Amino acid sequence: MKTGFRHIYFFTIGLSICFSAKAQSVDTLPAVKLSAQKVLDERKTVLPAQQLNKEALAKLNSISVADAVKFFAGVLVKDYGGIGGLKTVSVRSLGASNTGVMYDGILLSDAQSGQVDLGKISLDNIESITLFNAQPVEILLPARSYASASILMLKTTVEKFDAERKATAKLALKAGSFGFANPSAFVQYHFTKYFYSSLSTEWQRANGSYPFKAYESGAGTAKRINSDINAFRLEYDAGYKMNDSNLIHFKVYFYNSDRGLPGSIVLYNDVSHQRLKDKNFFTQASWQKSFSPKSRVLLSGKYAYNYNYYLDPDYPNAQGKLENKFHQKEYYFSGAYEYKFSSLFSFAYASDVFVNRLTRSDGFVAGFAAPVRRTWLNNIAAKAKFNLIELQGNLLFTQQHDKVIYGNSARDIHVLTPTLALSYQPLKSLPLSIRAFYKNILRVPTFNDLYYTFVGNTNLRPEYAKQYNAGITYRQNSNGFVQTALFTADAYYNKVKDKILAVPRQNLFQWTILNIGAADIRGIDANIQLYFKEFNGVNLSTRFAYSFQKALDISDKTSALYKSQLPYTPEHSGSLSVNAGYKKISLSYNILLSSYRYQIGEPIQENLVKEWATQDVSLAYSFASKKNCRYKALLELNNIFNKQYEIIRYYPMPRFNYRAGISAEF
Amino acid sequence: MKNDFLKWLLPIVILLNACGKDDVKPITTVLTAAKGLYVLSEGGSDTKLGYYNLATGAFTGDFYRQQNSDDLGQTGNDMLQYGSKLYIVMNVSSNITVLNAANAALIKRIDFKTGSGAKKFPRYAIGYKNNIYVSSTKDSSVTVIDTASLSIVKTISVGPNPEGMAIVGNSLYVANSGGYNFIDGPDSTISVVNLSTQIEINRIKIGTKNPQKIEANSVGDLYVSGYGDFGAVPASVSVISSATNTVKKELGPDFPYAFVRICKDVAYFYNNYGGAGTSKVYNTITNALVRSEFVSDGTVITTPYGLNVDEQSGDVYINDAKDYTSSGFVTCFDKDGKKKFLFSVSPGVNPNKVLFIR
Repeated sequence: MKTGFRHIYFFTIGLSICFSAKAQSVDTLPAVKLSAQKVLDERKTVLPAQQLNKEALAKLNSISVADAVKFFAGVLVKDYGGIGGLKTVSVRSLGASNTGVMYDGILLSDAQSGQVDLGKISLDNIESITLFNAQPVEILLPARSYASASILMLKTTVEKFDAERKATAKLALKAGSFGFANPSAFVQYHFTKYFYSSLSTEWQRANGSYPFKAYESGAGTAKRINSDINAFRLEYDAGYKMNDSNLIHFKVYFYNSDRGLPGSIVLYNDVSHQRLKDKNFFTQASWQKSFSPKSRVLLSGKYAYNYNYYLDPDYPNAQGKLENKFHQKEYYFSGAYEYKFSSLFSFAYASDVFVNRLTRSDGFVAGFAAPVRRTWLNNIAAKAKFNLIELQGNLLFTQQHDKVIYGNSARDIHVLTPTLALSYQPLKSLPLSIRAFYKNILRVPTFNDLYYTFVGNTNLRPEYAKQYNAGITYRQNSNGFVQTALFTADAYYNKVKDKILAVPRQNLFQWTILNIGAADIRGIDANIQLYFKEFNGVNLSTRFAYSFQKALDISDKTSALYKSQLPYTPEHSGSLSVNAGYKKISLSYNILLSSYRYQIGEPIQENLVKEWATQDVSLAYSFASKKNCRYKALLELNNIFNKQYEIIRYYPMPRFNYRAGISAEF
Repeated sequence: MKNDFLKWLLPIVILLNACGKDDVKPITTVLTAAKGLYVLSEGGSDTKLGYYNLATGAFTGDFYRQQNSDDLGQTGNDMLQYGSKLYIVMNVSSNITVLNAANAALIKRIDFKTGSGAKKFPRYAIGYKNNIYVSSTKDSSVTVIDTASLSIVKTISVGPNPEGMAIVGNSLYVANSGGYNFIDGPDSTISVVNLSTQIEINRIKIGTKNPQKIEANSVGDLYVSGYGDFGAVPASVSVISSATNTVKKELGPDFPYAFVRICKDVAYFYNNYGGAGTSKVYNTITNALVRSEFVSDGTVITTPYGLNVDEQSGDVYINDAKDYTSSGFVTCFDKDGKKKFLFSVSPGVNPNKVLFIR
């Protein structure tokens, strides 16, 4: 993170914030203490960025990454309800496959669906979540981190090489409504000053059978059925630091889940027995080495295997069931190099090669394309700083070639796409910056788009999104009642062409996928964060996010939907989080809200999906024992006013529910 | 979707049965002009029953809700008027919703579930001798509903994933699509059910794959149209003789149509997806092509999703599903294919069935 300078904030439990007086370049950060966090300075980024760190995340009544990102401006989470329900993000009204999700420096990928279900990523071991519009602001990065319209960066580990104690551990247990239980454990052992290993594991289960107001007139309350989940995660991390400029990270990740797919509510006959099982495994490593203060290299590699099993035991075929068994493999390698000509100008080159393969082992194997995709990404990036102006730009060259064993393969892709970003601080004395960026990026057709049995279309071209953004940022630190005020506002315009859409050709069976969509998206993202001076022992802070989106479908001039708002896109949405700390007690109050939206179809009353707001409260009590053990008890009350709402039509969201948890760190 | 025709055939059928003869010529029934239309729209997520007043041109888009303060449910596939009642086949909600035909007031909802509680996914309905016969996808059956008690009295096993049905004499002909057998491929048979014993007595092999619709003409020929296999085998039409229960002929590559409706011995072939024109008109008695394209005035139907004929006036109503997500339209043509009027079925999406209320 070399853009400008970073403040370092030391958070202690109960949210007392001290600002370190001196600003440090992150590259030369001294090793930070255990409780310390690297915090992104949202004002100093050339590209819009929003961050939630572990302390903030703990206060957001969230169990998955999907729950937490609802608090970011510009993000819409398609939440199908329940712990096991699908949750995908749309950033600035671009589809879920336009957002890249990085997990400890390397992209999570799903070449089949193109999207990551953020409901599957638990917050248990997440240290920070950062959303970058366009791309991260660092330039020593794999080329792939430039290849999305936005990047959601998840970090699980913080450097802890000089830990005070050899062994640390954390045990936690959460339990709550609808049969939710979530034990987790974390151990870290420092073998030497230069080498540590850690193991993080958790188990999540819930019957998910939550009550909701029935859709049929006079039917009272119904219960969600077939909404259970059982998920297990195991993660191993190792870090080896040969010296300050030579770091190796290694990770092994395993996730296994089995869940019911309740489907949408069907009036008068709400039966579903469909199941989904996932096994995700990946192992990744990265090596970062500085040859000199000017010259650095970052090598990354990954192998991923995903198994996906879908069962509909009621399917009306001769076998009496429908089974899909998909296997995905990815081999990934990336090399990146950065050279700093001076403290004002640096240049980076990255080259990523990856192979994605999709096979199936079910009854449909005979005619299946079994695609193998080779992708080669080359990126050059440069960053310059002239006095109060900062410039950043890159050129990404995407090359892709698919090979299939059956049918036609997709067209090859050879595309060059640029990004240009600029920030300017008009007055040195005024902590206000203005920023702007332009990015043109493609979203490649997924394996499902291209090869899905009966549906896929191998003639598809990539989908393009041109993003334009202009914004201001302001941060004021003072000794007054408001100690820190951060304000950011960005206005943007996204133009999407050749949007890949699934179009039904016939009832029930026949869909096809075409490059027929186009969208014209204008919006505003705004964030305010305020940190107040301690008052009678009470620490107060608040964060507020607001989004305005006018996202128009301009696909077909002859359609009734022409220039109507994209489905499920509210014009106004926002969040508010107020946190208070008093001694060992921490209290948070969170609001999420969304204006009305329309489901797929015309913007008429019949398709209206009503506005909603949820209010959550969380209460934590933290204390430490003499033996350096820290304990925390947590109570989360969600949707305290028991509101019935839906984000997706006929997918009712849970009403009031609670979770209680205890954790011990030693 | 052929049931409005069969409804008019019903008196004949009853008569035929009374005579105990199969070759009685149809008797012309005197019909009064339709006063209004019930339009069933499958919906994206909500099925709508609309009512169009032919005198005033006023359309009530959600007539069912207006009359019942509730919703119909999901994916209404078919609608039948039999006696004083309206039977709506709710595919995904998996029931038969019985209404008073005069005012669309709900009378009863008959659940369609298998023994294990799974949805049966009913598809189409046809009435005969105070029974309603309903084909169901899940358990490959035809369910018999007694119209007096409005309860299920019998389940007849037929071929895989039955679709359209037709009645000639004392026989029920059921199109077995096997449309869900993606692995082994679709079916291409017609089940023959004896309506006295309510047992399948024969299964006729036809050339058409994945048959969807079956309609009879006045001389007992049955026209079967089907999708093909969505791959190498195109949509096609087979003709069965009910006298011999054998295939009389295959209409061949000039008839790539998955859907057929016959009214007064004139067959209208069409597709509900981009296919060969809007509709082809064919005389089933003379076996001559009447018109290769029904629409004669250049009117564009984006996505033909249903074709219904007013037997009294000869007007042809073609439903347009447009992009399948926005409100559908119904266009009324005269018998020569000239547009008479058009109306939006908003908020109805994917209109499939039009019933004529007299």
